[in-house]
Amino acid sequence: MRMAQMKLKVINVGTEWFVPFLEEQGVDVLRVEWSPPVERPSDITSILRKLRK
Amino acid sequence: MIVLSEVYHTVEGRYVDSVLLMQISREVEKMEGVQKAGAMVATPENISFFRIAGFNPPPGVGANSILLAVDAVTGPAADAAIGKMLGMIESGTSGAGRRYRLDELPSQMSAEDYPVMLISTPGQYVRDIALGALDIGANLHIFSSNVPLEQELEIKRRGRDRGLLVMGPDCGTSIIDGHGIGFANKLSPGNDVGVIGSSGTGIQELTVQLDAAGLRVSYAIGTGSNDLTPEVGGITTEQAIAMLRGRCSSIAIVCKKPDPALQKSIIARIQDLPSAFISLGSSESGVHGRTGVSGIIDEAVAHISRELGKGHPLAEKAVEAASPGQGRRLLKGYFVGGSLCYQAQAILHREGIKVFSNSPLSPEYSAGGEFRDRNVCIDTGAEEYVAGRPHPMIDPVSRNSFLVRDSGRADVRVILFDVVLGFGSSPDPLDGLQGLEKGPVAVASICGTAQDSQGIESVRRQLEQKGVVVFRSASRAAAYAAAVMKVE
Repeated sequence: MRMAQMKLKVINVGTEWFVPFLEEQGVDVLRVEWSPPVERPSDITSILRKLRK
Repeated sequence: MIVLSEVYHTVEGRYVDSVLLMQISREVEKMEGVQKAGAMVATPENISFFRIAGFNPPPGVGANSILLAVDAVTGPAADAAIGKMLGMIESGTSGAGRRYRLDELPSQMSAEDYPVMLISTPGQYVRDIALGALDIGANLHIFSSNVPLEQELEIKRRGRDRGLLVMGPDCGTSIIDGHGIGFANKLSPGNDVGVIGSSGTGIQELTVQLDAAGLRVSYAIGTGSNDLTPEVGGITTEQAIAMLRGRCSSIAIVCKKPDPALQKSIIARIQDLPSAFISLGSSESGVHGRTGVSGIIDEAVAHISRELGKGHPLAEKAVEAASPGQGRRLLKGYFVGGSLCYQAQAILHREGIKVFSNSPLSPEYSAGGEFRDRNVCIDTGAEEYVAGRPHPMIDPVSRNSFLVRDSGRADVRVILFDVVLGFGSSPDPLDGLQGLEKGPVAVASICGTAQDSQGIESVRRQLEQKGVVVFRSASRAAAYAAAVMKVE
Protein backbone atom coordinates (compact mmCIF):
# COMPACT_ATOMS: atom_id res chain seq x y z
CA MET A 1 0.00 0.00 0.00
CA ARG A 2 1.67 3.22 -1.12
CA MET A 3 1.28 5.88 1.53
CA ALA A 4 4.58 6.55 3.30
CA GLN A 5 6.03 10.00 2.56
CA MET A 6 2.81 11.07 0.83
CA LYS A 7 0.42 13.85 1.74
CA LEU A 8 -3.31 13.27 2.10
CA LYS A 9 -5.39 15.08 -0.50
CA VAL A 10 -9.18 14.69 -0.31
CA ILE A 11 -11.36 15.03 -3.39
CA ASN A 12 -14.88 15.87 -2.24
CA VAL A 13 -17.89 14.79 -4.30
CA GLY A 14 -21.35 15.45 -2.83
CA THR A 15 -22.26 17.30 0.35
CA GLU A 16 -19.64 19.88 1.32
CA TRP A 17 -20.42 19.56 5.05
CA PHE A 18 -17.16 17.75 5.79
CA VAL A 19 -14.89 20.08 3.79
CA PRO A 20 -14.28 22.75 6.49
CA PHE A 21 -13.46 20.02 9.03
CA LEU A 22 -10.81 18.65 6.67
CA GLU A 23 -9.39 22.10 5.94
CA GLU A 24 -9.26 22.80 9.69
CA GLN A 25 -6.91 19.81 9.95
CA GLY A 26 -4.67 21.20 7.22
CA VAL A 27 -5.86 18.74 4.58
CA ASP A 28 -5.72 19.90 0.96
CA VAL A 29 -9.26 19.50 -0.46
CA LEU A 30 -10.41 19.59 -4.07
CA ARG A 31 -14.15 20.31 -4.35
CA VAL A 32 -15.83 18.67 -7.29
CA GLU A 33 -18.75 20.24 -9.08
CA TRP A 34 -21.39 17.53 -9.13
CA SER A 35 -25.11 17.27 -9.69
CA PRO A 36 -27.22 14.24 -10.57
CA PRO A 37 -27.30 13.44 -14.27
CA VAL A 38 -30.46 14.65 -15.95
CA GLU A 39 -32.68 11.66 -16.56
CA ARG A 40 -34.59 12.02 -19.78
CA PRO A 41 -37.78 10.08 -20.38
CA SER A 42 -37.09 7.19 -22.74
CA ASP A 43 -39.19 8.63 -25.59
CA ILE A 44 -37.15 11.87 -25.56
CA THR A 45 -33.93 9.83 -25.48
CA SER A 46 -35.00 7.88 -28.57
CA ILE A 47 -35.95 11.11 -30.40
CA LEU A 48 -32.54 12.60 -29.57
CA ARG A 49 -30.87 9.45 -30.85
CA LYS A 50 -32.75 9.69 -34.16
CA LEU A 51 -31.84 13.37 -34.50
CA ARG A 52 -28.13 12.54 -34.09
CA LYS A 53 -28.24 9.99 -36.95
CA MET B 1 -48.20 43.29 18.97
CA ILE B 2 -45.93 41.93 16.26
CA VAL B 3 -47.79 40.24 13.43
CA LEU B 4 -45.52 37.65 11.86
CA SER B 5 -45.57 36.92 8.18
CA GLU B 6 -45.37 33.27 7.15
CA VAL B 7 -44.30 32.59 3.57
CA TYR B 8 -43.99 29.20 1.87
CA HIS B 9 -42.38 28.30 -1.42
CA THR B 10 -41.79 24.98 -3.13
CA VAL B 11 -38.97 23.97 -5.46
CA GLU B 12 -39.92 21.10 -7.75
CA GLY B 13 -37.78 18.37 -9.31
CA ARG B 14 -34.44 19.65 -8.06
CA TYR B 15 -31.82 17.65 -6.09
CA VAL B 16 -30.25 19.53 -3.19
CA ASP B 17 -28.53 17.58 -0.44
CA SER B 18 -30.23 17.76 2.94
CA VAL B 19 -27.15 19.16 4.69
CA LEU B 20 -27.03 22.11 2.32
CA LEU B 21 -30.75 22.70 2.97
CA MET B 22 -30.05 22.76 6.71
CA GLN B 23 -27.18 25.23 6.17
CA ILE B 24 -29.42 27.42 4.00
CA SER B 25 -32.12 27.65 6.66
CA ARG B 26 -29.55 28.48 9.35
CA GLU B 27 -28.01 31.18 7.15
CA VAL B 28 -31.40 32.74 6.47
CA GLU B 29 -32.32 32.71 10.16
CA LYS B 30 -29.46 35.21 10.65
CA MET B 31 -31.21 37.77 8.38
CA GLU B 32 -32.77 40.82 9.97
CA GLY B 33 -36.48 40.38 10.64
CA VAL B 34 -36.45 36.60 10.19
CA GLN B 35 -37.80 34.70 13.21
CA LYS B 36 -37.35 31.19 11.89
CA ALA B 37 -36.76 29.41 8.61
CA GLY B 38 -36.85 25.86 7.31
CA ALA B 39 -35.81 24.14 4.10
CA MET B 40 -36.40 20.42 3.75
CA VAL B 41 -37.50 17.80 1.27
CA ALA B 42 -41.24 17.53 1.90
CA THR B 43 -41.42 13.93 3.11
CA PRO B 44 -44.32 13.22 5.50
CA GLU B 45 -41.82 13.04 8.42
CA ASN B 46 -40.32 16.41 7.52
CA ILE B 47 -43.79 17.98 7.13
CA SER B 48 -44.45 16.90 10.72
CA PHE B 49 -41.12 18.50 11.76
CA PHE B 50 -42.24 21.74 10.10
CA ARG B 51 -45.41 21.57 12.22
CA ILE B 52 -43.44 20.88 15.42
CA ALA B 53 -41.35 23.97 14.60
CA GLY B 54 -44.57 26.04 14.48
CA PHE B 55 -45.11 26.23 10.73
CA ASN B 56 -48.37 25.41 8.94
CA PRO B 57 -47.19 23.85 5.67
CA PRO B 58 -49.66 24.14 2.79
CA PRO B 59 -51.47 20.91 1.91
CA GLY B 60 -50.59 18.82 -1.11
CA VAL B 61 -46.79 19.33 -1.10
CA GLY B 62 -45.21 16.03 -2.17
CA ALA B 63 -41.95 14.29 -1.35
CA ASN B 64 -40.50 15.30 -4.75
CA SER B 65 -40.59 18.93 -3.64
CA ILE B 66 -38.35 21.00 -1.43
CA LEU B 67 -40.44 23.12 0.92
CA LEU B 68 -39.06 26.48 1.98
CA ALA B 69 -40.74 28.16 4.95
CA VAL B 70 -40.02 31.51 6.56
CA ASP B 71 -41.56 33.29 9.51
CA ALA B 72 -40.58 36.97 9.52
CA VAL B 73 -41.71 40.23 11.11
CA THR B 74 -42.81 41.70 7.77
CA GLY B 75 -43.86 40.39 4.37
CA PRO B 76 -40.90 41.99 2.57
CA ALA B 77 -38.48 40.42 5.10
CA ALA B 78 -40.04 37.01 4.48
CA ASP B 79 -39.89 37.49 0.70
CA ALA B 80 -36.24 38.56 0.91
CA ALA B 81 -35.46 35.42 2.94
CA ILE B 82 -37.16 33.16 0.39
CA GLY B 83 -35.22 34.98 -2.34
CA LYS B 84 -31.94 34.30 -0.55
CA MET B 85 -32.85 30.62 -0.12
CA LEU B 86 -33.61 30.28 -3.82
CA GLY B 87 -30.31 31.96 -4.69
CA MET B 88 -28.35 29.56 -2.48
CA ILE B 89 -30.20 26.57 -3.96
CA GLU B 90 -29.43 27.85 -7.44
CA SER B 91 -25.70 28.19 -6.67
CA GLY B 92 -25.81 24.72 -5.10
CA THR B 93 -22.98 25.44 -2.67
CA SER B 94 -22.58 26.62 0.87
CA GLY B 95 -19.27 28.42 0.42
CA ALA B 96 -16.73 30.02 -1.83
CA GLY B 97 -13.84 28.31 -3.58
CA ARG B 98 -13.25 26.71 -6.93
CA ARG B 99 -15.17 23.58 -7.96
CA TYR B 100 -13.46 21.20 -10.39
CA ARG B 101 -15.03 19.00 -13.01
CA LEU B 102 -14.26 15.30 -12.65
CA ASP B 103 -12.19 15.36 -15.85
CA GLU B 104 -10.00 18.16 -14.45
CA LEU B 105 -8.86 16.12 -11.44
CA PRO B 106 -5.83 14.32 -12.93
CA SER B 107 -4.17 17.67 -13.64
CA GLN B 108 -4.65 18.67 -9.99
CA MET B 109 -2.78 15.71 -8.48
CA SER B 110 0.91 15.12 -8.03
CA ALA B 111 3.01 12.06 -7.23
CA GLU B 112 3.38 13.29 -3.63
CA ASP B 113 -0.38 13.20 -3.03
CA TYR B 114 -2.18 10.35 -1.30
CA PRO B 115 -5.57 10.97 -2.88
CA VAL B 116 -8.80 9.91 -1.19
CA MET B 117 -12.10 10.69 -2.87
CA LEU B 118 -14.86 11.32 -0.32
CA ILE B 119 -18.16 10.46 -2.01
CA SER B 120 -21.48 11.43 -0.41
CA THR B 121 -23.88 11.52 -3.33
CA PRO B 122 -27.11 9.48 -3.38
CA GLY B 123 -26.20 5.78 -3.65
CA GLN B 124 -27.42 5.25 -7.21
CA TYR B 125 -24.73 7.58 -8.59
CA VAL B 126 -21.77 6.15 -6.65
CA ARG B 127 -20.65 3.38 -9.00
CA ASP B 128 -19.69 5.57 -11.97
CA ILE B 129 -17.97 8.19 -9.81
CA ALA B 130 -16.09 5.52 -7.82
CA LEU B 131 -14.84 3.58 -10.85
CA GLY B 132 -13.70 6.84 -12.44
CA ALA B 133 -11.80 7.76 -9.27
CA LEU B 134 -10.05 4.38 -9.15
CA ASP B 135 -9.05 4.90 -12.80
CA ILE B 136 -7.13 8.04 -11.81
CA GLY B 137 -5.50 6.34 -8.81
CA ALA B 138 -7.64 7.69 -5.97
CA ASN B 139 -8.53 5.69 -2.88
CA LEU B 140 -12.17 5.94 -1.84
CA HIS B 141 -14.08 6.88 1.29
CA ILE B 142 -17.70 6.23 0.28
CA PHE B 143 -19.99 7.86 2.84
CA SER B 144 -23.08 7.15 0.72
CA SER B 145 -25.33 4.25 1.59
CA ASN B 146 -27.83 2.38 -0.62
CA VAL B 147 -25.22 1.29 -3.13
CA PRO B 148 -26.40 -2.03 -4.65
CA LEU B 149 -24.32 -4.92 -3.32
CA GLU B 150 -23.18 -6.09 -6.78
CA GLN B 151 -21.88 -2.56 -7.45
CA GLU B 152 -20.11 -2.50 -4.08
CA LEU B 153 -18.37 -5.75 -4.99
CA GLU B 154 -17.38 -4.41 -8.42
CA ILE B 155 -15.90 -1.26 -6.85
CA LYS B 156 -14.05 -3.15 -4.09
CA ARG B 157 -12.61 -5.76 -6.47
CA ARG B 158 -11.45 -3.03 -8.87
CA GLY B 159 -9.84 -1.18 -5.94
CA ARG B 160 -8.08 -4.30 -4.69
CA ASP B 161 -6.79 -5.11 -8.20
CA ARG B 162 -5.24 -1.65 -8.40
CA GLY B 163 -3.84 -1.60 -4.87
CA LEU B 164 -6.29 1.11 -3.81
CA LEU B 165 -8.35 1.17 -0.64
CA VAL B 166 -12.16 1.29 -0.87
CA MET B 167 -13.52 2.47 2.48
CA GLY B 168 -17.29 1.98 2.28
CA PRO B 169 -19.97 2.27 1.00
CA ASP B 170 -21.77 3.32 4.17
CA CYS B 171 -18.48 4.39 5.76
CA GLY B 172 -18.91 7.16 8.34
CA THR B 173 -15.39 7.40 9.72
CA SER B 174 -11.79 6.99 8.70
CA ILE B 175 -8.52 8.42 9.95
CA ILE B 176 -5.57 8.62 7.56
CA ASP B 177 -2.18 9.70 8.91
CA GLY B 178 -3.88 11.48 11.83
CA HIS B 179 -6.50 13.25 9.70
CA GLY B 180 -10.15 12.43 10.37
CA ILE B 181 -12.39 12.01 7.31
CA GLY B 182 -16.17 12.08 7.85
CA PHE B 183 -17.11 11.83 11.52
CA ALA B 184 -13.96 11.49 13.62
CA ASN B 185 -12.50 12.73 16.88
CA LYS B 186 -9.34 14.75 17.35
CA LEU B 187 -6.80 12.31 18.77
CA SER B 188 -3.19 12.50 19.87
CA PRO B 189 -1.37 10.95 16.89
CA GLY B 190 0.82 7.87 17.03
CA ASN B 191 0.95 4.25 15.97
CA ASP B 192 0.26 2.26 19.14
CA VAL B 193 -2.96 0.90 17.65
CA GLY B 194 -4.21 0.67 14.08
CA VAL B 195 -7.99 0.53 13.98
CA ILE B 196 -10.20 -1.15 11.39
CA GLY B 197 -13.98 -0.97 11.57
CA SER B 198 -17.20 -1.60 9.73
CA SER B 199 -19.16 0.65 12.07
CA GLY B 200 -18.64 4.42 12.22
CA THR B 201 -19.45 5.26 15.82
CA GLY B 202 -17.86 1.95 16.80
CA ILE B 203 -14.59 3.32 15.41
CA GLN B 204 -15.16 6.68 17.14
CA GLU B 205 -15.90 5.13 20.54
CA LEU B 206 -12.94 2.73 20.21
CA THR B 207 -10.45 5.44 19.16
CA VAL B 208 -11.71 7.79 21.90
CA GLN B 209 -11.35 5.09 24.57
CA LEU B 210 -7.86 4.21 23.28
CA ASP B 211 -6.91 7.90 23.33
CA ALA B 212 -8.26 8.27 26.87
CA ALA B 213 -6.12 5.27 27.87
CA GLY B 214 -3.04 7.06 26.51
CA LEU B 215 -2.73 4.80 23.45
CA ARG B 216 -2.04 6.70 20.22
CA VAL B 217 -3.97 6.24 17.00
CA SER B 218 -3.19 7.76 13.59
CA TYR B 219 -4.96 5.25 11.35
CA ALA B 220 -8.55 4.02 11.43
CA ILE B 221 -9.72 2.34 8.27
CA GLY B 222 -13.49 2.31 7.85
CA THR B 223 -14.51 -0.64 5.73
CA GLY B 224 -18.24 -0.01 5.23
CA SER B 225 -20.99 -1.95 6.92
CA ASN B 226 -21.09 -4.87 4.45
CA ASP B 227 -17.39 -5.74 4.39
CA LEU B 228 -17.57 -8.72 6.73
CA THR B 229 -20.55 -10.32 4.99
CA PRO B 230 -20.00 -13.58 3.09
CA GLU B 231 -20.81 -11.75 -0.18
CA VAL B 232 -18.08 -9.10 0.18
CA GLY B 233 -15.67 -11.43 1.96
CA GLY B 234 -13.73 -8.85 3.96
CA ILE B 235 -11.93 -7.31 0.96
CA THR B 236 -11.24 -3.95 2.67
CA THR B 237 -10.54 -5.50 6.08
CA GLU B 238 -7.86 -7.73 4.51
CA GLN B 239 -6.29 -4.75 2.70
CA ALA B 240 -6.35 -2.70 5.90
CA ILE B 241 -4.64 -5.45 7.92
CA ALA B 242 -1.88 -5.62 5.29
CA MET B 243 -1.54 -1.83 5.40
CA LEU B 244 -1.42 -1.48 9.20
CA ARG B 245 0.74 -4.53 9.99
CA GLY B 246 4.24 -3.23 10.42
CA ARG B 247 3.02 0.35 10.67
CA CYS B 248 1.25 -0.03 14.06
CA SER B 249 2.20 -1.93 17.23
CA SER B 250 -1.24 -3.49 17.49
CA ILE B 251 -4.49 -3.84 15.56
CA ALA B 252 -8.08 -3.47 16.82
CA ILE B 253 -11.05 -4.43 14.65
CA VAL B 254 -14.61 -3.37 15.50
CA CYS B 255 -17.66 -4.62 13.61
CA LYS B 256 -21.29 -5.73 13.84
CA LYS B 257 -22.58 -9.22 12.97
CA PRO B 258 -19.50 -10.49 11.10
CA ASP B 259 -19.76 -13.69 9.08
CA PRO B 260 -18.45 -16.38 11.51
CA ALA B 261 -16.08 -17.93 8.95
CA LEU B 262 -14.63 -14.50 8.11
CA GLN B 263 -14.26 -13.67 11.80
CA LYS B 264 -12.25 -16.88 12.28
CA SER B 265 -9.96 -16.24 9.31
CA ILE B 266 -9.37 -12.60 10.27
CA ILE B 267 -8.50 -13.51 13.85
CA ALA B 268 -6.06 -16.09 12.45
CA ARG B 269 -4.44 -13.25 10.43
CA ILE B 270 -3.88 -10.98 13.44
CA GLN B 271 -3.46 -13.27 16.45
CA ASP B 272 0.35 -13.11 16.37
CA LEU B 273 0.05 -9.37 17.14
CA PRO B 274 -1.27 -7.62 20.23
CA SER B 275 -4.82 -7.22 18.92
CA ALA B 276 -8.55 -7.16 19.59
CA PHE B 277 -11.59 -8.27 17.64
CA ILE B 278 -14.80 -6.61 18.80
CA SER B 279 -18.05 -7.99 17.45
CA LEU B 280 -20.50 -5.50 18.94
CA GLY B 281 -23.51 -7.17 20.49
CA SER B 282 -21.80 -10.55 20.71
CA SER B 283 -21.64 -12.34 24.05
CA GLU B 284 -18.37 -13.97 23.00
CA SER B 285 -15.39 -13.32 25.23
CA GLY B 286 -11.94 -14.92 25.16
CA VAL B 287 -8.40 -14.81 23.85
CA HIS B 288 -7.07 -16.46 20.67
CA GLY B 289 -3.28 -16.20 20.51
CA ARG B 290 -2.75 -12.52 21.35
CA THR B 291 -6.20 -11.45 20.09
CA GLY B 292 -8.80 -10.53 22.70
CA VAL B 293 -12.32 -11.26 21.42
CA SER B 294 -15.21 -9.36 22.96
CA GLY B 295 -18.56 -7.69 22.29
CA ILE B 296 -17.70 -4.63 24.39
CA ILE B 297 -15.33 -1.86 23.30
CA ASP B 298 -13.98 -1.11 26.79
CA GLU B 299 -12.97 -4.75 27.30
CA ALA B 300 -10.98 -4.67 24.05
CA VAL B 301 -9.20 -1.48 25.10
CA ALA B 302 -8.22 -3.13 28.41
CA HIS B 303 -6.90 -6.19 26.52
CA ILE B 304 -4.79 -4.12 24.09
CA SER B 305 -3.43 -2.09 26.99
CA ARG B 306 -2.39 -5.28 28.83
CA GLU B 307 -0.83 -6.79 25.69
CA LEU B 308 1.15 -3.64 24.88
CA GLY B 309 2.09 -3.14 28.52
CA LYS B 310 1.17 0.52 28.31
CA GLY B 311 -1.84 2.79 28.72
CA HIS B 312 -4.43 3.09 31.45
CA PRO B 313 -8.04 2.48 30.37
CA LEU B 314 -10.44 5.16 31.53
CA ALA B 315 -11.66 4.49 35.07
CA GLU B 316 -14.93 6.22 35.87
CA LYS B 317 -16.06 6.53 39.43
CA ALA B 318 -18.84 4.21 40.53
CA VAL B 319 -22.25 5.84 40.60
CA GLU B 320 -24.99 4.40 42.78
CA ALA B 321 -28.13 3.60 40.80
CA ALA B 322 -30.63 6.43 41.22
CA SER B 323 -34.01 5.57 42.65
CA PRO B 324 -36.82 5.96 40.12
CA GLY B 325 -40.22 7.36 41.02
CA GLN B 326 -43.42 5.35 41.45
CA GLY B 327 -44.94 3.89 38.29
CA ARG B 328 -41.86 4.43 36.19
CA ARG B 329 -41.01 1.20 34.31
CA LEU B 330 -39.82 1.91 30.76
CA LEU B 331 -36.41 2.58 29.23
CA LYS B 332 -36.26 4.91 26.25
CA GLY B 333 -32.92 5.06 24.45
CA TYR B 334 -32.38 7.30 21.41
CA PHE B 335 -28.94 7.18 19.81
CA VAL B 336 -27.18 9.12 17.07
CA GLY B 337 -24.57 6.34 16.88
CA GLY B 338 -25.88 3.07 15.47
CA SER B 339 -23.01 1.07 16.95
CA LEU B 340 -23.53 2.61 20.37
CA CYS B 341 -27.23 1.74 20.12
CA TYR B 342 -26.28 -1.84 19.29
CA GLN B 343 -23.73 -2.15 22.11
CA ALA B 344 -26.24 -0.70 24.59
CA GLN B 345 -28.80 -3.35 23.66
CA ALA B 346 -26.25 -6.12 24.24
CA ILE B 347 -25.39 -4.75 27.69
CA LEU B 348 -29.05 -4.31 28.66
CA HIS B 349 -29.92 -7.85 27.50
CA ARG B 350 -26.92 -9.23 29.40
CA GLU B 351 -28.35 -7.57 32.52
CA GLY B 352 -31.76 -9.12 31.89
CA ILE B 353 -33.49 -6.01 30.51
CA LYS B 354 -35.56 -6.90 27.46
CA VAL B 355 -35.18 -4.08 24.96
CA PHE B 356 -36.52 -3.61 21.42
CA SER B 357 -34.98 -1.69 18.55
CA ASN B 358 -35.19 -0.65 14.91
CA SER B 359 -31.72 -2.19 14.69
CA PRO B 360 -32.23 -5.21 16.98
CA LEU B 361 -29.72 -7.83 18.07
CA SER B 362 -32.11 -10.45 16.68
CA PRO B 363 -35.43 -10.19 14.78
CA GLU B 364 -37.53 -11.14 17.83
CA TYR B 365 -36.54 -7.80 19.38
CA SER B 366 -37.65 -5.67 16.43
CA ALA B 367 -39.38 -2.54 17.76
CA GLY B 368 -41.93 -2.40 14.95
CA GLY B 369 -43.83 0.78 14.17
CA GLU B 370 -45.51 1.26 17.55
CA PHE B 371 -43.21 1.01 20.55
CA ARG B 372 -44.77 3.42 23.01
CA ASP B 373 -45.18 0.76 25.69
CA ARG B 374 -41.86 -1.04 25.19
CA ASN B 375 -38.31 -0.57 26.34
CA VAL B 376 -36.48 0.63 23.25
CA CYS B 377 -33.06 1.61 21.96
CA ILE B 378 -33.63 3.47 18.69
CA ASP B 379 -30.92 4.25 16.13
CA THR B 380 -32.05 7.68 14.93
CA GLY B 381 -29.41 7.64 12.21
CA ALA B 382 -31.18 4.73 10.50
CA GLU B 383 -32.63 5.18 7.03
CA GLU B 384 -36.23 5.66 8.19
CA TYR B 385 -35.20 8.62 10.39
CA VAL B 386 -32.91 10.43 7.93
CA ALA B 387 -34.96 10.37 4.71
CA GLY B 388 -34.63 13.90 3.34
CA ARG B 389 -32.86 15.28 6.40
CA PRO B 390 -29.29 15.36 7.72
CA HIS B 391 -27.89 12.64 9.97
CA PRO B 392 -28.62 13.43 13.65
CA MET B 393 -24.90 13.84 14.34
CA ILE B 394 -25.06 16.84 11.97
CA ASP B 395 -28.49 18.09 13.00
CA PRO B 396 -29.32 16.70 16.47
CA VAL B 397 -32.65 18.53 16.92
CA SER B 398 -34.93 15.68 15.86
CA ARG B 399 -33.18 13.08 18.07
CA ASN B 400 -33.13 15.48 20.99
CA SER B 401 -36.84 16.20 20.51
CA PHE B 402 -37.55 12.49 21.11
CA LEU B 403 -35.63 12.67 24.40
CA VAL B 404 -37.52 15.79 25.48
CA ARG B 405 -40.87 14.24 24.52
CA ASP B 406 -40.29 11.01 26.46
CA SER B 407 -38.79 12.81 29.46
CA GLY B 408 -42.28 14.21 30.06
CA ARG B 409 -43.91 10.79 30.39
CA ALA B 410 -44.88 9.49 33.83
CA ASP B 411 -44.16 5.84 32.93
CA VAL B 412 -40.56 6.33 31.73
CA ARG B 413 -37.88 5.34 34.22
CA VAL B 414 -34.70 5.82 32.15
CA ILE B 415 -33.79 8.08 29.24
CA LEU B 416 -30.56 6.82 27.65
CA PHE B 417 -28.61 8.62 24.92
CA ASP B 418 -25.25 9.32 23.36
CA VAL B 419 -23.56 12.61 22.51
CA VAL B 420 -20.93 12.29 19.81
CA LEU B 421 -18.37 15.08 19.42
CA GLY B 422 -15.61 15.63 16.90
CA PHE B 423 -15.07 16.55 13.25
CA GLY B 424 -18.32 16.35 11.26
CA SER B 425 -20.58 16.50 14.32
CA SER B 426 -22.84 19.44 15.08
CA PRO B 427 -21.12 22.37 16.83
CA ASP B 428 -24.05 22.25 19.28
CA PRO B 429 -24.92 18.61 19.91
CA LEU B 430 -27.38 19.60 22.67
CA ASP B 431 -29.48 21.80 20.35
CA GLY B 432 -33.13 20.94 20.93
CA LEU B 433 -32.56 19.45 24.38
CA GLN B 434 -33.66 22.62 26.21
CA GLY B 435 -36.98 21.21 27.41
CA LEU B 436 -35.61 18.00 28.93
CA GLU B 437 -37.65 17.26 32.06
CA LYS B 438 -36.19 15.84 35.26
CA GLY B 439 -38.78 13.10 35.89
CA PRO B 440 -36.97 10.03 34.55
CA VAL B 441 -33.33 9.21 35.30
CA ALA B 442 -31.48 10.61 32.27
CA VAL B 443 -28.21 8.87 31.38
CA ALA B 444 -25.77 9.95 28.65
CA SER B 445 -22.37 9.04 27.31
CA ILE B 446 -20.09 11.54 25.61
CA CYS B 447 -17.93 10.15 22.81
CA GLY B 448 -15.23 12.77 22.52
CA THR B 449 -11.77 13.96 23.49
CA ALA B 450 -10.57 17.11 25.22
CA GLN B 451 -9.27 18.26 21.82
CA ASP B 452 -12.67 18.15 20.09
CA SER B 453 -13.97 21.60 19.19
CA GLN B 454 -17.37 21.22 20.91
CA GLY B 455 -15.66 21.31 24.32
CA ILE B 456 -16.19 18.05 26.17
CA GLU B 457 -16.19 19.65 29.62
CA SER B 458 -18.70 22.30 28.58
CA VAL B 459 -21.01 19.61 27.14
CA ARG B 460 -20.66 17.56 30.31
CA ARG B 461 -21.48 20.58 32.48
CA GLN B 462 -24.53 21.49 30.42
CA LEU B 463 -25.82 17.92 30.67
CA GLU B 464 -25.20 17.73 34.40
CA GLN B 465 -27.06 21.03 34.88
CA LYS B 466 -30.06 19.31 33.26
CA GLY B 467 -29.75 16.51 35.83
CA VAL B 468 -28.23 14.01 33.39
CA VAL B 469 -25.86 11.33 34.75
CA VAL B 470 -22.89 11.53 32.38
CA PHE B 471 -20.30 8.89 31.46
CA ARG B 472 -17.30 9.04 29.12
CA SER B 473 -17.90 5.45 28.07
CA ALA B 474 -21.02 4.29 26.21
CA SER B 475 -20.85 0.83 27.77
CA ARG B 476 -20.68 2.31 31.27
CA ALA B 477 -23.73 4.47 30.52
CA ALA B 478 -25.67 1.43 29.32
CA ALA B 479 -24.61 -0.60 32.38
CA TYR B 480 -25.76 2.23 34.67
CA ALA B 481 -29.09 2.43 32.81
CA ALA B 482 -29.50 -1.32 33.37
CA ALA B 483 -28.76 -0.89 37.10
CA VAL B 484 -31.45 1.79 37.40
CA MET B 485 -33.93 -0.46 35.60
CA LYS B 486 -33.20 -3.20 38.16
CA VAL B 487 -33.82 -1.06 41.24
CA GLU B 488 -36.76 -2.61 43.13
